[in-house]
Amino acid sequence: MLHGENLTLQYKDGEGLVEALHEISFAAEDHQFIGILGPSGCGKSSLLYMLSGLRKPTRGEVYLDDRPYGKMSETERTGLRRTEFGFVFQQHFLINYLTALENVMVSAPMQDKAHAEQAKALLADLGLGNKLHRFPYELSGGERQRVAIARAMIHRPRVIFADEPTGLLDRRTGLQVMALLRGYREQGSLIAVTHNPEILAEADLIMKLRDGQIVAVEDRVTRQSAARPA
Amino acid sequence: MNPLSPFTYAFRHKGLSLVLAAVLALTVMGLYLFIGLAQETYIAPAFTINRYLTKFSLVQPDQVPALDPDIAAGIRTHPDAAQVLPQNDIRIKVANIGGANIPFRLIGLKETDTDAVLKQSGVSLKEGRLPRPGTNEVALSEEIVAALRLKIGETFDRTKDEKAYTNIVSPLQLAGVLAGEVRLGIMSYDYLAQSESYRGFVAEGLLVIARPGREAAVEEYLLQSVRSPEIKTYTYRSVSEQVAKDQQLLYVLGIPIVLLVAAAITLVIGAINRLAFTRRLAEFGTLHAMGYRRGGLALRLALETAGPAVVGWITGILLAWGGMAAVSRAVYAPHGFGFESLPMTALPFVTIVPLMVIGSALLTAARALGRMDPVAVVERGQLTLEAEPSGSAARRSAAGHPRPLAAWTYYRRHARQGAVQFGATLLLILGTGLLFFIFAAGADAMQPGLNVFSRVSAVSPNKGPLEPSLIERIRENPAVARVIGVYTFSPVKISIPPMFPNQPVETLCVTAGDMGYLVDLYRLELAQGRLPQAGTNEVVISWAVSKNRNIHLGDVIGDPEHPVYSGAPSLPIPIVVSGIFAPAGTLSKETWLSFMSLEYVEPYRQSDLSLIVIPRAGQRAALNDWLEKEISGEGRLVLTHENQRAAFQKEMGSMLFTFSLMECVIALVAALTLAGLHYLFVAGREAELATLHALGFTRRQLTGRILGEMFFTVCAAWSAGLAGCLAVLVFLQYGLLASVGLQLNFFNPAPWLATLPIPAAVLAAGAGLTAWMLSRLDPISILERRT
Repeated sequence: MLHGENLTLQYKDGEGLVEALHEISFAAEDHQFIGILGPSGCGKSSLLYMLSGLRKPTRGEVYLDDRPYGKMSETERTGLRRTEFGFVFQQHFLINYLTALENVMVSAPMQDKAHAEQAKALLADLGLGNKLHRFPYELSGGERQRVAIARAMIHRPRVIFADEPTGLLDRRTGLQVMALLRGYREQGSLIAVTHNPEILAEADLIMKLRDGQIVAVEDRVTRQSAARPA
Repeated sequence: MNPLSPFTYAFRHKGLSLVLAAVLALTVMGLYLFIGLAQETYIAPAFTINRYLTKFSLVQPDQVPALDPDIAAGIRTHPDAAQVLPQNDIRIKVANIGGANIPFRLIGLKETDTDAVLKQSGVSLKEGRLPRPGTNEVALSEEIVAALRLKIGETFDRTKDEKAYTNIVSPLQLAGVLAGEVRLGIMSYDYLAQSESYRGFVAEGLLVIARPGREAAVEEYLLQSVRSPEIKTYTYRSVSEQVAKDQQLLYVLGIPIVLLVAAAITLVIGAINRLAFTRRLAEFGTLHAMGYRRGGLALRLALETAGPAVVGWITGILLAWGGMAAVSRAVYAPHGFGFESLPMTALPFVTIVPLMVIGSALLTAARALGRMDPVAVVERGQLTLEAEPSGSAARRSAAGHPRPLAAWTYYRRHARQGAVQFGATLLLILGTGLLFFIFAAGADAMQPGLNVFSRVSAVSPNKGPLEPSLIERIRENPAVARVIGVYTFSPVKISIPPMFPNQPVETLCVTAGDMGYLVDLYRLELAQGRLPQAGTNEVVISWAVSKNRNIHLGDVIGDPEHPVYSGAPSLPIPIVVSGIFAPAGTLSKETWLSFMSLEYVEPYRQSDLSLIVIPRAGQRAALNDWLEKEISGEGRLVLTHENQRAAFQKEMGSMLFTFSLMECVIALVAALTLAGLHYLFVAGREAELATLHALGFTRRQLTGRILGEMFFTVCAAWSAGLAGCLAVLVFLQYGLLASVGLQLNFFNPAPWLATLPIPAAVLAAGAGLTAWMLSRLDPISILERRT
């Protein structure tokens, strides 16, 4: 469904070139939960931005249903994020002057009554049914992140990209947020980037990145066998 | 070095200081140029052209053939008078840059006196020769020559330019060009005195040169002891008093415009300051926690605004001076009206701007710091741009069907920002449009003067009487229903406040039979009294004139001892109001027609008989066409509704063009300032825009959304501006014009167009800036920076 081939990202740093990602290939199928694990600065967020069409690779290509991003205009690529993808950032990036409900409605395909009801139901499912009309600054960190998750889900995207979605949350809240995101697998795929292996425990596939290169790919079987005592 | 000095802040925040100084500089420059150019276009030329009266004064009889010999002898023997010379003169009109005509004297001097007058005036011959005695030769100052576009050897008379040379009934020739301290036009006394053509056009009098140091005493003597209803004295003070009235008009029109623009700029700078202050809350919270008093901090904030404001003020004035010097050299000097010095009239006007800005900054800072809770600030850290609305109000406004990306939602949550954009746009729309509404109201009110030609055309002689064969030809044309011989003169001038204080109203002097015919033709009805009887000094006037000058039945017009209104012209034989017509009701039917007996006026007439030509039904266009093609020519003018309307529109258009040029400067400043303010507001929303772009909104959609918000405030401000302008029109009609018998046209679209440039320019500049900013938006860098 979504795959990248030989993705390389270079950028200028002073007089020299820095290679943030080197020849990364990647494939995600429908209803998969893929984790990208690595320390800070290893290029995992950059990979996420490339897969979502926010950043162009220096070399290589990303395909959605075999349609290469390179042949799409910026408008088409942006359109993908509106219809096919959802985003959860490390910070909530909610719009400060909109209420929780309105922030979710920002991503709704139509801003009509039906979608408003859908957004309300979604927020209620996420435990925010009584905080629909609160502004972001009136919510806790976990609540804000749940609103961001609702915003990422309201248009039923095929893929949700989550960039360190629990990075600013305490452990308990972080696990709750991940449980919510994992729950989306029934409707679409989830690609999450983190440096915390704990939140990827349920991932179908984990790619480990270091210095811009994939150093290991683990599926459930591999992980289970590695975890089994010899 | 004091780390908390306003200078330290300005040096470390050069961008913000530059923005403040630039906004002030542009505004001050715009207003200075507006007031300065208005001064140099409409006021200064009248002073400049009459400056010769600082060198000598003139005394002339008024409505009597000659000065009283005793009074003339008294002037000659006055101890402070160095020389008293005979003079006569005739007037021409010199058009200023704005298209208005300023009277200028061609002074007739005896050959023996010419040198003395030139010496006294500090003027000498630059080119050609001085006028020879008994000839039609003229010597003019070089600036007047430039204004009239004449060359040595050229002749000029009323056939060349009816407006400029109305009194030049036979050609005069430019023989010499003068240069010196004042502008002068001289010609032969004998020629004017002896020329048959100029009989009735020439004023005879005395030219008085004061002893050195006694100029004020002579002026005082002439104004206090000599001036009377029968004697006119022309001194620099008397001219200055007249021009001072025009100067007052400039103030009346200029002050509201300056105040509106200054208020708008104060709002804009207040908003910029508030943005900067919001980002510095932590700094002020910390300083207050450290023991700095709120008052001191408020003063520091105000001084941080005062510095750039003063720099902007000085820069603006310097730019305006530079601009005016350039305009003077490039535009005014070639037309003979180069600025003699840079006008200072605008200085007090533009000083209002920084004072308002600094005062507002001090008040805002004191208010904001007064409400500041240093503990909250220190604990929360720096707050974002988004002010936190009070919970209940915000929730209330959040209830209902959500439209998160609608402009209305944005402004409901950013009421203050919306109010600043709305207020500043509204004030600038009013500031730039006001003058056009006042001008258009005046122009509308003059329409009855043109309506005379809606039913008739006229043929007027401008070089000797009309030939009988020509009159016969006109009479025999099959499209002509009637031809009426008429003398015209203007015993009353109508005042159209505030811009046109003295508009001549012509009285038609016709026979009793023709008067009845014309009264029927125009469907005039008497409201009071009766039509003038043949051979009497009676006059019937329009309702508008009666109301405008408070003239009643039985009042005497033209009596120098008892003027019918202040400044009313005196007449050789006063006339009595015997009737007043009823108002027509609608502006399109209203005329200021007034009639007198032809037989009575004949002995006093100063011009030749004109013809009023009445077309047969349905033949007006054909007749006018024939008159224009066959009758119009040398020695006669054809006046039709079409050509009079075109001439009126040309004259008004010329004034309007000058206004527009002056207003353009303000409009440009306004558009730049408002677009800049908008840019600052949008720039403060980069995280929101980056998030939306990451969520799949294209740059075009985001630009469209921002423009939608902008369109919302601009349209709201424009609508309020239209309402404000309508209120101005209502005030002009019912507060100003109706009480003096005048009407304006509420449906005249022209002034409404003047409300469009600001919204259009703001939207265009805002669209450009937003598109440019969003094209450079890099969502990843913003998202990563925040993370």
